[in-house]
Amino acid sequence: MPEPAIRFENFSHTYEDGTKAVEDVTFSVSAGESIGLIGHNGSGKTTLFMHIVGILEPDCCVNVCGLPVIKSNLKEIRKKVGYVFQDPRDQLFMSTVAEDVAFGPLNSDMDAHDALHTAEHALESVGLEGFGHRISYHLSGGEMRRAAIATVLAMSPEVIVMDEPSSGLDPRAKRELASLIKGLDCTKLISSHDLDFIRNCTDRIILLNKGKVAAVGTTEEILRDTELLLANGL
Amino acid sequence: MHHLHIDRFAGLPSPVHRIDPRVKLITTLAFIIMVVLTPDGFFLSYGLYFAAVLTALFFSNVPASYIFKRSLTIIPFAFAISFFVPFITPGPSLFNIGFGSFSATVTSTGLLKFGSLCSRAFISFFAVITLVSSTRFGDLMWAAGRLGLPAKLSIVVSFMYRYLFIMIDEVSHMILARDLRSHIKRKNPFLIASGGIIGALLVRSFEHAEKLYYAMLLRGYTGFPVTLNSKHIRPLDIVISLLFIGFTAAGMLTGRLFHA
Repeated sequence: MPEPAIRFENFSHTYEDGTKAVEDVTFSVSAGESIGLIGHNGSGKTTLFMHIVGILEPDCCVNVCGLPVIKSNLKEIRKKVGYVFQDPRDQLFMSTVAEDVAFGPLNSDMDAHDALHTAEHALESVGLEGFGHRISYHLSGGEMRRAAIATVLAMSPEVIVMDEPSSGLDPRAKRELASLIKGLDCTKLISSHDLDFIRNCTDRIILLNKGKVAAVGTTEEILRDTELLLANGL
Repeated sequence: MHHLHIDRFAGLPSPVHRIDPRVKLITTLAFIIMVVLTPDGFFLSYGLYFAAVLTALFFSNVPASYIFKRSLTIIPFAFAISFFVPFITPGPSLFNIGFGSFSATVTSTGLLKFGSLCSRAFISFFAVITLVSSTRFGDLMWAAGRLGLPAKLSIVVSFMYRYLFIMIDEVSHMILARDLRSHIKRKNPFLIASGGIIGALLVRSFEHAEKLYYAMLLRGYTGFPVTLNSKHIRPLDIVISLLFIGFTAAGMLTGRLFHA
């Protein structure tokens, strides 16, 4: 049986102020799957995401691409996992879009010429060809989101985790983003409470409520069950 | 993040922008050293130095008003540092300033020294602003690293630069939010709101800066500046640099001959 791309096993996390963010969470994501992580605000989605890339205290109850998330594995894990932040402005910090997208490849010791080529290719794959010279903060919300995804795609990750990628987007930009995500050829874990968006780009859903897994099922199964959604704050 | 206020003109296509950042950095450092080493009262030399920087500015296509405005920020600092110089430098007395029982004498030598200090500070700062405005910050840090700036120092400078603009960004958002809600008549509403703003600003800037740092870390950031622009020093860069330094040295010699 192949190793799951992401596995949480009896995982719990309590913040320093005593807030219990997630409790006894167990689930796994197979390679190539597109999973929606849904739940109300504060249900623990972002906490789980931050543990996948070891932003919060690394924990061996979390396993990514066969590697436990411990300090010595972080470099390797971060090469395999692309993290798209909720606010794209957190992801875009260089002067131009091309520099932002090429930041990862340049840090992987790629030379400037190849990094630029990779950046152009990544921008093309998110429909932003010719945007390289643009100033990142002058982009529209949808373009910024696409650029943020391109920064991750440029690193050819095996797994992409996206924290609320549809927030702040208009319906058209949401549709375009959903079809873009659908076309990405890697394991995807997408958190959102935008159920239409999740319906359009995931195969399976993990429903969180107050830091616990409330339900797991196919996207259609979960989204059809209105009572379940209501009972879990959605 | 509006950190491009400094990088705003750094991408212009001009002969000055095309010069390798290492050459520009060394040339500017050499220029500043010569300016600083020029004796007091060599105003002819100062004029020639200023002409040299103005020439560079002209070829950089960066608006002169932008550079002038930014350069003026050094004046209060230069003024504060050299404020007592006219009073404490021995020399022929010019006039007395008295406040009650206190009186101080301004000497002509002191005044000359004061003028010279302010002029040198302004010219040096003008050159630095011209350099920063015609070179991307990332390229500048890369060049400094290549020229031997310790990596840790380069990290400190880079993050100071990034976080400064994160704070500016947060301040502008918070001030806007405050102004939109400050229409109710209250005693010192701005002052009351501003107190809260400072506290919230630190928390918000810290959180935003932390996320940016994570974003960099997750994309392999190791602390060493990276740049997309492949750099190589052209013979023309060396020629331009030598011409600039030569002109500055000639300015210094002219001053010495004039005062001999």
